Amino acid sequence: MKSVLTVQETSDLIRSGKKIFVAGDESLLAALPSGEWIGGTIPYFMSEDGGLFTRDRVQVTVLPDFVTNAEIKLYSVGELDRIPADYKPNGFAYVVIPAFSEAHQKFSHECSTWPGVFNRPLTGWIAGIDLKDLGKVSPKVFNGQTGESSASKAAVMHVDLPAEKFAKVNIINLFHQGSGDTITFPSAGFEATDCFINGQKRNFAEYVETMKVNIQQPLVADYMGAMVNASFQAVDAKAGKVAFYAPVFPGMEYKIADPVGDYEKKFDEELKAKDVSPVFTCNCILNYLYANLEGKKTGHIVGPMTFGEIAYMLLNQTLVYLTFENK
Amino acid sequence: MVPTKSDPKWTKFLANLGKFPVSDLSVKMMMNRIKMKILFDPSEASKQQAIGDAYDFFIKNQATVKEDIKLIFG
Repeated sequence: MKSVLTVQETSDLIRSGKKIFVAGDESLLAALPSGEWIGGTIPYFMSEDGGLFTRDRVQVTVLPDFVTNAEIKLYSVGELDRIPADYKPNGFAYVVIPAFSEAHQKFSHECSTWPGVFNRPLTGWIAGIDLKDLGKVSPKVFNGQTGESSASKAAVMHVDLPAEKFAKVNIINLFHQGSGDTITFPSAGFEATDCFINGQKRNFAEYVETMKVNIQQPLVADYMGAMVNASFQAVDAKAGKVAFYAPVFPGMEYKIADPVGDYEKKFDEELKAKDVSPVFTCNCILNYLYANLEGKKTGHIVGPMTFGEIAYMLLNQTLVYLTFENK
Repeated sequence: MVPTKSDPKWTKFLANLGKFPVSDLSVKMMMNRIKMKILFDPSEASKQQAIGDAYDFFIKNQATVKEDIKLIFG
């Protein structure tokens, strides 16, 4: 089944009782009937025909019929740390958070400290908007069960699976730590002024300018073998500040990523090596933009191109995928 | 098999974080969280809490990360 559908086709799926994830323009999500669906705004997708920008259709992930138990909740900023307590016994949680919201900030700074957060797979993405509408429109999330939408709350679908199945979240990150300087930060944040370069204190904006860092290549930290990116948003040399799309954390050692080269080709190679058949995937709007993915395919992978990907924590420039496995 | 919380294997686990070539993303993320927790608070109480968190994680995921459990605890 194709993943990019009209409102009518999606409405038919919802009315048939399917449990679905939906991504698309706010006006389209608002037009969907009540049912077992969770949604977030974004107009950028990887479709079966390649990278696609559309505000006329939505992208749909249909959960298999063996998924019988799915509960959707909206969490305010103060309630976010309760997400793990609501995990289903044998399930996973799918979360969508509006970009630029306090929930986005809080989740990305604190989620790894929440008790039990790693105990079940947690995946999802950060809802976004047409880049032309930045500053004019707020990204939103939708609870299809109640019809409620929000620009400030996180929407979570808690899904349970039959006893013989389990969910797994994984990532494909084509970026690896380069061989350059080791960079650390004294505090956590989406913004940095001071940093330590190989242990020596320095202004990070000045470092980025002096070293002529290509800011399309993220900072990469090694999380016990998982490469985790923090992508550059902007460098303000005058103010001495660097902004990121995900927070950097003290204690983690970052390096500027090596260039990827041909993203499409490298992605295809990685995909073939991993032999992935995901239920759901999302990838980063920055990969879409920097690798010029409009009209280009990333193997057989389809899904929204988002303002941040979630695999237990907020990621950047990374493909996140969910699979169902047999025990 | 996940050792009981009082087993000395947990001390070795904490001392060797980062040296286990684990494969599951959730295990990597959980272990990184423990590493950070102990880095900023190396007290005995913090270590015991970290062991408790890791124990709960492995018990709840025995069936899904069994290869990594075997790798870590033998």
